[in-house]
Amino acid sequence: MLVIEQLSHSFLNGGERTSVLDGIDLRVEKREVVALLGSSGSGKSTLLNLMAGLMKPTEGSIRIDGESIERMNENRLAEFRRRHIGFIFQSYELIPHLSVLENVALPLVFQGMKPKERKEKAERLLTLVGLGEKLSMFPSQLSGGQQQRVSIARSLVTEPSIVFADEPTGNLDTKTEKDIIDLLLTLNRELGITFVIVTHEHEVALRAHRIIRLRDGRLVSQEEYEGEEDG
Amino acid sequence: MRLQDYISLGWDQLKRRMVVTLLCAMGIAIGSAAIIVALAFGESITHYAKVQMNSFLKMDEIHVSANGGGRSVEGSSVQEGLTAPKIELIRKLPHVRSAALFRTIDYLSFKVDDTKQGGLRLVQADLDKLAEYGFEFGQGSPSAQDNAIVITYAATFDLFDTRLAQLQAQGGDVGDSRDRLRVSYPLYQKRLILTQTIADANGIVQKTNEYPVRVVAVLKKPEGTVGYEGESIGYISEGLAERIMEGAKAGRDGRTAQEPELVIKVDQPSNVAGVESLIRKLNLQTQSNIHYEKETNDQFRIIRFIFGGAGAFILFVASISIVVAMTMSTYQRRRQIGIMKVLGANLKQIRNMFIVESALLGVVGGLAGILFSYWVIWAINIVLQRFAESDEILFISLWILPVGLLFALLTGVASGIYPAVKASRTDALTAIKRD
Repeated sequence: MLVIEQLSHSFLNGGERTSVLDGIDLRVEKREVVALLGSSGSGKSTLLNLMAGLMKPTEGSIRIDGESIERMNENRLAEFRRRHIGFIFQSYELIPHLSVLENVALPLVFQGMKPKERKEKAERLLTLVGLGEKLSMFPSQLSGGQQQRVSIARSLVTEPSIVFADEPTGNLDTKTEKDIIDLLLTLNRELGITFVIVTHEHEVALRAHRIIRLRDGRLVSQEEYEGEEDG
Repeated sequence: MRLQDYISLGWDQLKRRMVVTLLCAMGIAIGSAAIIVALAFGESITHYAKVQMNSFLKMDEIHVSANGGGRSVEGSSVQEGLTAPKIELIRKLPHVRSAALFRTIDYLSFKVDDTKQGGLRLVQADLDKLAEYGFEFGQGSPSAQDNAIVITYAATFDLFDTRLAQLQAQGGDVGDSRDRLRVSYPLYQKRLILTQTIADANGIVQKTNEYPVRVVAVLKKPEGTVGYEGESIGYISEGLAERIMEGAKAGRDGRTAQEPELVIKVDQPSNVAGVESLIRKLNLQTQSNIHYEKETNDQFRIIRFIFGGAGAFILFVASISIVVAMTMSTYQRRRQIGIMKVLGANLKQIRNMFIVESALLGVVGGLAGILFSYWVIWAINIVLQRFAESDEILFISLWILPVGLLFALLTGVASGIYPAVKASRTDALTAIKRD
């Protein structure tokens, strides 16, 4: 599903090269839920952005579904993201003037899908995440947890191979945080979606199938779990 | 991505930024209205110039004379050249509405009411057919009487007041201007005494012939002219023309009527050239004013170009406001663009979104511009009618409207290109991290 080999990333800072990631090797299997755990500045968000094709690595390779994304140009990457990758943001990143339904259907607009088909698809996913009654509402009329559910539905609407979640519970209270992780695990179990979740919260990471710890841009440990834990 | 989705997303953005949209649309509206008004101005001027030209120069007329024209009526060329069968044939040619003979007989002075004197170029014509040739009667109508004369409106102007001249000669006070001796005088239904002086070879007057005639009709003032403009012409019947020519024979034997001319009316000025070439094949000489039309068109092309250029300049200025507004909008929407990119929008799609949005702005401005232009033309027409007392009214031809709209649309698209390219180059990650 996802294979990362010798991935390094650095940038120039005042004439000096600063390394953010150094020689990362990682493999994520299909239907797996992986948590990337690390403190602030550990390089976990950079790794996520590289995996999602939002940044180009300095060295190494990233293969998703057998395709190397590090050499793709911007248009090919957009096309690839559209077909293979879903993204969940910490602050939901919904378009405020679009309704819940329109927000979820937006990635399908870029695929050129007919309005009727994308409406049906978006409606189905919103029902799946428990927002079937709020289709015509706007993001500002929803709670943080509900907005994140919309964001999750949007990430799944294109039927991606893998979904990257960047601190999906970072803006939520404990109860809602649990609900959202429950939802992700349910979607993984029922739809077989692969999730890579970036988090700095240990409780969230503990519920994943595998925890990958990062420190100072290096992968320091991998812990595997048989199944989810109830946090 | 489907066109309707681009339109829907673009329209949504325009609605959200209502004030900016209205201001930008206003700029485009003024620019496209200026172009529409400019084109309408040019079109109206051209139209009325053509009407004027047709009225003065009679663009739908062809004057036909025998080859080697200008010879005497008694010369053989007339009979040989402009024969009755040829005239019949010409009358049956396609696009020929009518064909009638006109002939300048002489230039005679006349007296009226014993107090005024004037002069007329006498033209022999079939008075009953004058109306067919576009002659419009201001007063009266042609009569079958032999001594009937139809005069032009200009003939009622610039008459010499003999009584005032007499008073002046006797030392009377007739004012300080010689112009006061030239007066206009109503001639309808008056009895004119046409005076023909017969001189010998040395120019010494031998005899004076007088022909009393009755003014049965005065032609209408030609459109767009003041009264004294135009030639003083009297149209007379064939009988009277024969008598005048007979009277002239007693003179020095040199003054004769001109060769008759067949005047042909063609259904449309555009068919004149074709009819002319057919007539020339009959070994006849033709003359028309159609070449003036080309010259005039060339002149008005320049006028239209100048007006259109002014409109285009205004549109250019308006387009700057769109570029500014759209560029600002790309900055305000950086985050949104970033999200769209993460969700799979490619460079082309982001670029197209902005171009369609500004094209919509152009269309909105263009439609408002059409409305504006009608108001402007309406206002100009009111001013023209009230203050300039002009009958000539500006109009907007239907073909101008899509041209105005197209200019507005192109301005919108062109103004959207830079912001669109800028938006498409937005780095998704930077945009999302911005806040």
